[in-house]
Amino acid sequence: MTMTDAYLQTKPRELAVYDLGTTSYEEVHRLQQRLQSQRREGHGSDTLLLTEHRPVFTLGRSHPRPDLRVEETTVRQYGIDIVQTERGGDITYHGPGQLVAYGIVDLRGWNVGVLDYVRGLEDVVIGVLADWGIRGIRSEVGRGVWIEDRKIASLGLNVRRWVTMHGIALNIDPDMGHWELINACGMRDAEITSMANEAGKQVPYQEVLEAFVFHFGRVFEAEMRNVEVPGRGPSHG
Amino acid sequence: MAVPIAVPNLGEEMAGGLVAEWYHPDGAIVDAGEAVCRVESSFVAVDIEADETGLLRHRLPAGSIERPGAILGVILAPNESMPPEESFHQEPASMLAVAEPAESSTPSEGAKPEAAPESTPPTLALVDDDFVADVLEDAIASPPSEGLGPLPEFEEALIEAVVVPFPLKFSGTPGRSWDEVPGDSVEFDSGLFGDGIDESVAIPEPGGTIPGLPLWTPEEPTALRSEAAPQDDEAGQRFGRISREAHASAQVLTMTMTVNLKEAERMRSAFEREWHPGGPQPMLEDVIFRAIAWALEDTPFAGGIGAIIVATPDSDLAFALREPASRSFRDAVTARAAVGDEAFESASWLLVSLAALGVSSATPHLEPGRGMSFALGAEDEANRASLKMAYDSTRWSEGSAARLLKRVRDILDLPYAMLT
Repeated sequence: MTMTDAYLQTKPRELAVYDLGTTSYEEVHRLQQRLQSQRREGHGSDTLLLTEHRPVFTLGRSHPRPDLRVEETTVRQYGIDIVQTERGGDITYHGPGQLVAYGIVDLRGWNVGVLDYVRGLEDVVIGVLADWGIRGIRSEVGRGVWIEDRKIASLGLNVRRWVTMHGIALNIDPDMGHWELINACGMRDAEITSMANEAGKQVPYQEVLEAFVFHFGRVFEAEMRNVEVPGRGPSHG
Repeated sequence: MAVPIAVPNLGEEMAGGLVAEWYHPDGAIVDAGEAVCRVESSFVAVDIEADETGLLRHRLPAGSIERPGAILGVILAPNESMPPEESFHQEPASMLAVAEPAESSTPSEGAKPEAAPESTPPTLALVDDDFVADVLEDAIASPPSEGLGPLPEFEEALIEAVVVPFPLKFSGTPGRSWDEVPGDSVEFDSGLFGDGIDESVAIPEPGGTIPGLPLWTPEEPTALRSEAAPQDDEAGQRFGRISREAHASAQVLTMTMTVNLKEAERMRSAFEREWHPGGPQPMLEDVIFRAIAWALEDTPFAGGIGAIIVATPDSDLAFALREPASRSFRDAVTARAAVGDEAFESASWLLVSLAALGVSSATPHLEPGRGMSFALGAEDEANRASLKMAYDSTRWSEGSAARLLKRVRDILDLPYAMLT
């Protein structure tokens, strides 16, 4: 998608990009809440958090009961947490081998509507996939990015005073067995796929992360400013 | 002057949103900047904040689906009364300007909170080709001139009877306080509800701004969280350890309720013919236990008085009702299902009421141990009996016993609220 005139503005967009490495969902969730709170008050800067989580199922606000294919105790036995969040959407999975991008963005400052932002996130992922020769598309089935009828990236947002949190998760090479435990996004028959599946080869996490940052800057016409986080960062060679 | 709370315009493709939840009851005092309600689509949840400090009045209930610009409620100044309903239907000038991002570039750094619009309360007419909106409009247009006063039963019920796409489920509008139910009392051990439950509470800022660090607190690894998925050869050991830990920390949530058996019997009779066609006819205990089990266990469905969910056989429509035992109400549902005269009878449905069963008190408490039980005590001269339920915490995930207790408290505090 090309950027429409609505995207254009005089003030350059700038994002602080944090590569957090491997994290637990809850610590990044707290961080997001804090950043969104600051941003709502007009402090801080627009931020992109990039991470891969330890295994966790997250629930959207309107679907507080996990849509599981197995008993909840079984999920726990896999060492997977179940966490309630304030984003829209249904249950989804995060885990190692999945790039999760959380944007804390003041949409008013960018002069961008919620749906423009959503489409932009999808375009970022479609751009990343293209770099690996994978053709990602949008689908009428639901938001996110798809490879034909297989879902490869899931999306969910919370917006408060025009500041976003949550974002998009791209499957690079996660443990696909974990997806089997849930009806992802509330869809009983949705097939989940990954870049490794589609490309038929190993896909390095860190290269995908760098491509994501590049395409994010390209799609949103934003300057991406990497911020080093002491003790955090790339966990993959 | 009354400051409207409107559905934001989220973008050209976003035809509307589900009014998912009012964070504050009708008549509450809210502060400027405080989130008052949440509007959702399938992938985005938007918190709408109060532009002014004042008295919050709901106009449209949670659970309804509204177009951008629809006025969900207003914030009133002291001594100000609810604007007449007609004022909500005037064609607005400024609503979209309020709801949309600013046309011009807005400085993002140090932006000051925006002043409330100076113009008259901006409004948009409800969607007149939308059946649900028509029903809501009719129901709302008919109350007495004092505003949101008591409505006749049927009209009041219609406000609750909102058709939504099934997966969106419901939440409701708190309409009455528990005190209005004569003779009822609710007791709780408030110490059980303290920690880490209310997600709406702002996260305290320990200091520093972006990119001021440290932003993280060191993660404390727990036994269940600190390891990746088990390897095959470790699975047995791991399972054993998890099992031992679960047993060591097990708690029993015991809930003692006072049930009005006469009311429960009335409900049983009312539902007898509509009980699931494939199943046995319900016994009194079936009704009680099923209702309470749903209310307690099934998180999305936790109903207030007379709340019931009816899902049509293909599960693409659902209704939230009040007073499901009412014949006229069932007739209305049948008519509205619009998929055949026998839609109601052929629907699968779930009863999620506590108070409709005559539950007049509920006292939950936690104690260490394991076990599950149900016990219905002897009936007293006032047709009341105690109902004791014990749930084993190992059936739930971490912390869910506390969340469950909070849900029970919420249900009983706001008996007309349907909480999602």
